[in-house]
Amino acid sequence: MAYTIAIVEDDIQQRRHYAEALRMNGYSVAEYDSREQAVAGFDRNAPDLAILDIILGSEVGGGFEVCRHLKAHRPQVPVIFLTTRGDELDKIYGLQLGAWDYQTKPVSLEFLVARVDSLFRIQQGSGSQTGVPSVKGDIAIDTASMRVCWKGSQVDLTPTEFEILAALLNAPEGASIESLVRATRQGLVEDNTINTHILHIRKKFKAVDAGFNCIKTRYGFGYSWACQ
Amino acid sequence: MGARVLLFSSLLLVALPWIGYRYISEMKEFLLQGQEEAQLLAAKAVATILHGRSDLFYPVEEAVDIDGIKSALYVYPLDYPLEIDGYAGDWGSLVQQARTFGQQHLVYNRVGGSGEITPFSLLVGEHGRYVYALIHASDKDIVYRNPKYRRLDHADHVRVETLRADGSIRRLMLITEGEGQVSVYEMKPDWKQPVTGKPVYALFGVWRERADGYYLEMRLPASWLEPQPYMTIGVANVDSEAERRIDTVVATLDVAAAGRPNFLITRSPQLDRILQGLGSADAGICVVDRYRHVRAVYGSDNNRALCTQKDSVSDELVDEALKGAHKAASHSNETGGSILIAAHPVYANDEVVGAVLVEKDSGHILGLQHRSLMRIIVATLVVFLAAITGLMLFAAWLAYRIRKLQKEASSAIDEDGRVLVDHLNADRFAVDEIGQLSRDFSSVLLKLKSYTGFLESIPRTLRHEILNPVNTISMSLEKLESGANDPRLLRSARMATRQLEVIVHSLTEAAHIDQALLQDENERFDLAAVVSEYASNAGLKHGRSRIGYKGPDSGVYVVGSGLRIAQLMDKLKDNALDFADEGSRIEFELAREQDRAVLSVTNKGPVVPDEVLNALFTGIISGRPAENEAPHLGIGLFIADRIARQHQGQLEIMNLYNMDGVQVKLTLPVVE
Repeated sequence: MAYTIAIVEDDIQQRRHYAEALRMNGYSVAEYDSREQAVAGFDRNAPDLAILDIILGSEVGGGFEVCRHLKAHRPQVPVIFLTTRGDELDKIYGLQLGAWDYQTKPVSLEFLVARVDSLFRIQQGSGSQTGVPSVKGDIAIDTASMRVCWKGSQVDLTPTEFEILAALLNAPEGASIESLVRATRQGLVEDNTINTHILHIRKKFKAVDAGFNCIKTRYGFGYSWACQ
Repeated sequence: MGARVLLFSSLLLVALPWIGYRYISEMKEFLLQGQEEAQLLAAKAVATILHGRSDLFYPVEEAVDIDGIKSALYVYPLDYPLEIDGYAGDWGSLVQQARTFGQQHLVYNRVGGSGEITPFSLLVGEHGRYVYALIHASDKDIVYRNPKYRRLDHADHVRVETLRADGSIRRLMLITEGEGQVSVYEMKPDWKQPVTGKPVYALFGVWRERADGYYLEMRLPASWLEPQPYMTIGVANVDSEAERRIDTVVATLDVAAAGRPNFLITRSPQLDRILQGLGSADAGICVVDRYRHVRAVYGSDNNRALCTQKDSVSDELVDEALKGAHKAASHSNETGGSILIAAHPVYANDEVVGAVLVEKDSGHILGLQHRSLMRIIVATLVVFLAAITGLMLFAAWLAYRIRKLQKEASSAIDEDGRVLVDHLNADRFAVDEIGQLSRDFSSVLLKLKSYTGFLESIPRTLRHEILNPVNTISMSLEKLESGANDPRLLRSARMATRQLEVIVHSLTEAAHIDQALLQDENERFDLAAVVSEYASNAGLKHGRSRIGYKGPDSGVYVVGSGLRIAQLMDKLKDNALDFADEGSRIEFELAREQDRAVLSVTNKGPVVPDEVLNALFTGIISGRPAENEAPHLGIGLFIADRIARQHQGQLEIMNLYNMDGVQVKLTLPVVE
C-alpha cells in the first residue's frame, strides 16, 4: 500500500531530502512550501500523514495553523512536527492531538522514516489485535503495534513516549536521562524535554488510574519504573 | 481623583474661619445676654428698693393731681453756678429745652387795651443753693419804669410767685428803669401795692434788651422752693408809654389751675442718695418718673445714652417700662459706642410711678468679639499660607525628585538600546512610591542588562566557538574534494556538525529559558530530599571522590519545581567540574538559616577575577578552559541564575577566603 505523506516545509533543500528519503521507503509524497498551499492541497486530497515544519516563511506558528485545519476536517490524520525548540513541545501537547509525534532539527532522516513507520503501525494496530503483548504486572506492552494497556485499559502514547516508557521498563535499576534521550531517537534533546514527556506519560496513565505512581523521579540521575 | 480631594479639602479649610466666626458671634450673643440679664437684675433690685416709695417721686402732703403735674416746670440741674449778666451764653445747649408760653397762657387781657401779648420762653435750673431762671420775652415796645411815677406797675415787668412754708404766696415784681440789675419788690395780691416798699435783695436779676424783646436772667435762693417746690413766672406787657396801663399778662400758670403756682419738678436728692448707696462706678443708674422726667442719676456720663437727657426721656424702652414691662435694648451714645440699657418699672399702690434705667456700655464685649475675629482671621490666613506653602514646597520637591529620576532613567539606555547602567541612584533608598518606582526601574534595567549582555556576548563567543568546528568541516570537505578517502575525515566532519548543533542548542535553551520556566507547574517539595538524591547520583556518575554532600536528607521545603532545581544543580556541577583542580572534590552543602535555605557548590581551583565575578551570570564567557568537548559558552550559569530568580531566590558567586577556589551560593525562601 502506498501511503501518501504530505510535507509542509518552506526550505526547499531540506524538503527535497525528506521527500527523497520517504520515497525511497515506498511512500508517495506531496510537497508544499507554505500554509496556504498546504491547506488548499489537503482540501483536494487529504494525505495519510502530514509532516509539518512549525515555522513556515514569516509565520512563526504556521505549522500549528495547518495542523488545526487538518484536525478540523480530517482529525484521524497523524501529524509529525519538525521542531527547533524545546518549548514548542509544550505547544504541541497543548493542541491535544490524537496520533502525533515530533522530530527535532537537525533532522535525522533515519529517525524520521522510523517515526513515520511507527505512526502507521499504531494506526493500523488500533482496533485489531496484532502481536502478542508482553505483560509485566499491571502493564501490557505490544512493541509491534506500540500499544500499552494498564490494568486492562488502553493508554494512547505517541511513538516517542512509547520509546521512553519501553526504555524505563527495560531498565529495572532505573534509566538515566542520557539513556532516555537516546531512546527518543531525536538527536539532540534538552534534558527538560524528557521531564515534559514523563509528565505527560504520567498524566495519561493517571487518566485511566488515578492512583498511578509507578514512575519515580531520581534526581541527578533520571527515572525508574517502581512497580513490579 | 486628586483634584476632587483638593477641592474637598479646600472647602473644609474655608469652613474653618466661618465656623470660628459663628462661634465668636455665638459667644458675643451669650456675653451680651449675660450683661443684659445682669443689668435687668440690677434695675429690678433698685426698683424693688424704691417699691412703694411714691413719696420720693412726688410730695406726700398733697395729693398731686394730673393737672398740677402737667403744668409743672422742670428744673434742670446745672453743672456750675451761672453768671447773672442777662446773657444766655452760660446756659449752653440747655436753652433749646426752654418752654415757651404764649396765647394759651394769657391770664389777663385789659378791656380796651392793645391786646398785644408778650410770649416768652422760660428755662429754670438749679445749682447748689440757688435756683436760676432765664426768661426770653418778645416785646416790640419795651416800656421801662419812669422814676417820676411811684406806681410800680406802670411799666413792662416780670412777676415771680413762690409758696412759703406756711402756705402763703410770696409775690415778687421785677422792674427796671433800663438795662441792668432789676429792682425786686414784694407785692400785695392785687399786684398794685408793694407790701413793704423795701427792695428784696435775695432775688438778683439782670435785664438785657434784645432785638425782639429782652432777656431777664435771675437767681433766687433754693430754700424758697422748699419744702413746696412751686413757682410761677408771669410777664406783664405795657405798650403805651403815655397811658402806662398793663395790657396783657402771660404766665406759666395753666389757666385752669387758678390760684396755685406751678409745681417744680427737680432731681430728688433722696433718690440720688439711695442710688449712691447702690450704684457701681462703671454702670449708670437713673430713675425716671411716670412723666419721663429724670429724677435721679448716678454714675459717670461716659456710659449713658438715655440718662444724659436733661428733660424728659422719650424712648420706646422707657415707655414700655412705664407700662409695666421690664426689658433691655441697645442704643448708641454720642461717641458712637454701644450702650446696653435695662429698664424696670417702680410700683407704688399697684401703679407704676416710675422706672429704673441701668446703662452700661457693651463696647468691651463687642471689642472682644472684634479682637477675637481679627485673631481668627490672622490665624486662618497664617494656616492657609503655611498649608499652601507646604503643599507647594512638597509638590516642588516631588517634581524635582521625579525629574531627577526621569533624567537618570532616560540616560540609562542609549539610543541604540544598549543598557549603560544596571541600577538608578536617584531615590534608591526612599521608602515612598517614588523610591519604589526607582527600585522597580532598576530591577528592569538589571534584567535588561543581563539579557542584552548575554546577547551582546554571543557574537564574540560564537565567532570563537563556531570557527573551530566550521574549520574542521571545511578542511575535511577540502580533503574529500581532492580525492582523499579516509573515513576519519567523515567522522571528524560529523563530530564538528554535532558541535555546531550543541552550540545552537545551548543558545536556544538560554534564549527561551524564561518562557519555559513560566510553563512550569509550581508545587511545594522537599529541597533537601532533591539535593541529597542529586548529590548521591552525581557521585555515582562521577565518582564518590569527586562529589561530596553535607546537609539534611529531608525537611527543608520550598515552592517551585524540583526538576528545575536539579537542572540548576546540573549547571553548577558542570561549571564546578570545568574549573576544579585535577582530582579535587566538589562539595555540595545545604543549610537552613531562619526563613531561607542556602545551597552552595564549592570547588578548589583558580579564582575568578573580581571584575568578572558577577558578570558570569550575564552569560559572558570568562576564559573557560576548553577541556570538555561540549562548549558551554558560559550559558550554564546564566540559565542557573534565571532558574534561581524564578524560584524567588538568588545566586551568588565568590572566591574562597584562601583564594584557592570558588563557591556558588543559591539562596531560596523556605516554606513550612
